[in-house]
Amino acid sequence: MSVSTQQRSPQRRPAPPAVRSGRVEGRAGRPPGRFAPRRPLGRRTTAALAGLGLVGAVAVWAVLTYGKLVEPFFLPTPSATASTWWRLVAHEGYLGDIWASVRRVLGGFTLAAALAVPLGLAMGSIRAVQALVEPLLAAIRYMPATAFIPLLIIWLGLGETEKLAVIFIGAFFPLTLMVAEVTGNVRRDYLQIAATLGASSWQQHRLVVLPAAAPGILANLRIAMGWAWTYLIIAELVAADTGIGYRIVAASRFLQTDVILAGVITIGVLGLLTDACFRLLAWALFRHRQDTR
Amino acid sequence: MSAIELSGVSLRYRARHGDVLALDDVALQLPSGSFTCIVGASGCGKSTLLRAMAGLEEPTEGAIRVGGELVRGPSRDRGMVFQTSTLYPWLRVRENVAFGPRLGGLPRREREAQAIALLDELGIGDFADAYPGELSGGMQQRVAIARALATHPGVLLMDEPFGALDALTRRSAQSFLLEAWSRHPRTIAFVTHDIEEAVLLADRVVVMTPRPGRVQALVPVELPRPRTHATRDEPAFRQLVRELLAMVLKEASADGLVASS
Repeated sequence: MSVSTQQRSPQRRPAPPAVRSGRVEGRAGRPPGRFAPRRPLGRRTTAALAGLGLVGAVAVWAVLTYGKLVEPFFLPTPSATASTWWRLVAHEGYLGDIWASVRRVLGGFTLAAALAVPLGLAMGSIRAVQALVEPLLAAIRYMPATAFIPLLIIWLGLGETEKLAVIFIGAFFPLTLMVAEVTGNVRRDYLQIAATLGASSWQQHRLVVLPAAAPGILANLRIAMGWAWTYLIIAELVAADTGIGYRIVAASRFLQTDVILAGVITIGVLGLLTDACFRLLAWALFRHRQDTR
Repeated sequence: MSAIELSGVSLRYRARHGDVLALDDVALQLPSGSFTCIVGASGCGKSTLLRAMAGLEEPTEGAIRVGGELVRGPSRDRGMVFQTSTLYPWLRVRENVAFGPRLGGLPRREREAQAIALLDELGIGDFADAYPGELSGGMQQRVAIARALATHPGVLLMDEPFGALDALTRRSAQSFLLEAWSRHPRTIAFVTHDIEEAVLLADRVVVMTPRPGRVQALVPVELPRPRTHATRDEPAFRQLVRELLAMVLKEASADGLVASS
């Protein structure tokens, strides 16, 4: 290869290529651009932009519907959706459906978390448990929880147990692996220091691994809560006689797009509320901490 | 206080390109109550040696005895301080210092009172209620030293504890350590790559050479105590630093790590 290169090299040196350095700033340096990566943003601007995003989305919706750009049958107006929501709550027992859904989400999520957190902790810090369980969980994780629904209906019927099982399967397996990951990343020198201070294995688990992993575990629980809502609605769409998902399916049979939209927005707001609870909890528990890594 | 004895200590670990001999037949005696600094170019096994004394690494051959007892694993009799802060960020300073006594089952009131007394004695009592994240790097390392002292270990093992501090903070941390050591005499093994630091602190300096990790020389430091930063200006101090530096650099350049002049 080197030989052919030498042969091909011309006798005369070619003229040096024109300097291509793009826009050249002077010696004063380049001030950070408006959209420079991670450039800080003032509090007011942040709040204004956040508001603009929300208002903008509703505005687009309003223009499309009030402006008669979209048939009201396909997309009802904001005011129509709001009044439908109010009608559902005031006259059609919607709060009962909301409560049914919330109960299922909390039940399924609590069940999944109650088993996933201890198992994940054990997997992340005890190699034997990891070797035993990880390949199995990793395989099951890729089996879609939704595909289990027919099987669960056959096994458990159409009652509450089946709904809880769908949420459990959807949340438990990935949550366990994520808790294991967080636990496995607890700094080794934290454990070594504990050992030089006389900590037994159990003390290392209880007094070092658990508190060190706690913020990461809470962050993963927050994500898992989002999955729980998704799987709840799927379970209710497939087979239920109460719940927000059930109301959405029932409405679709009668082409009541306003009821569907009201349901979707209700779920969104409930998700936002649970998320806020998790953030509040994280703030209350870990606001003092500044983990160094 | 306990003496540390190493005899025929070798430590071999498997790396991707064959075995690495991190320690090769190391024999050392650290007398009870002495302050020994271990210096050498990076990769000379000085940290591995310290971790073996702590019981965090197991020698492939040879024996380490502390106070006559064979080291089999970490023990509360051998306190450790690392280069990076290992204070638990979820505990206040006093709770961090009380962590060792807590493991021993001492009730909260007692162990925290002890911790606060120790912090006061060391002159850092003002920070007892702070969280580690609120402290400067130098203060974090002082608290880490206090935490290691709180279980009254016979031995204190320090792995470049001031290595991440800036030069000015490092000086005050060194004074802090000398002061703490005079109040709480311990057998100290202290790993550093800063030769001035080693001469300022130590009774004896162990010079190690890399690949394989061996003890090249054991140099006594006969400067009178108490030592202060004024000691650095004394001709005897400068002379010793020069000699040790030549020793370490010679080994490093022979190894191709530093261009020889």
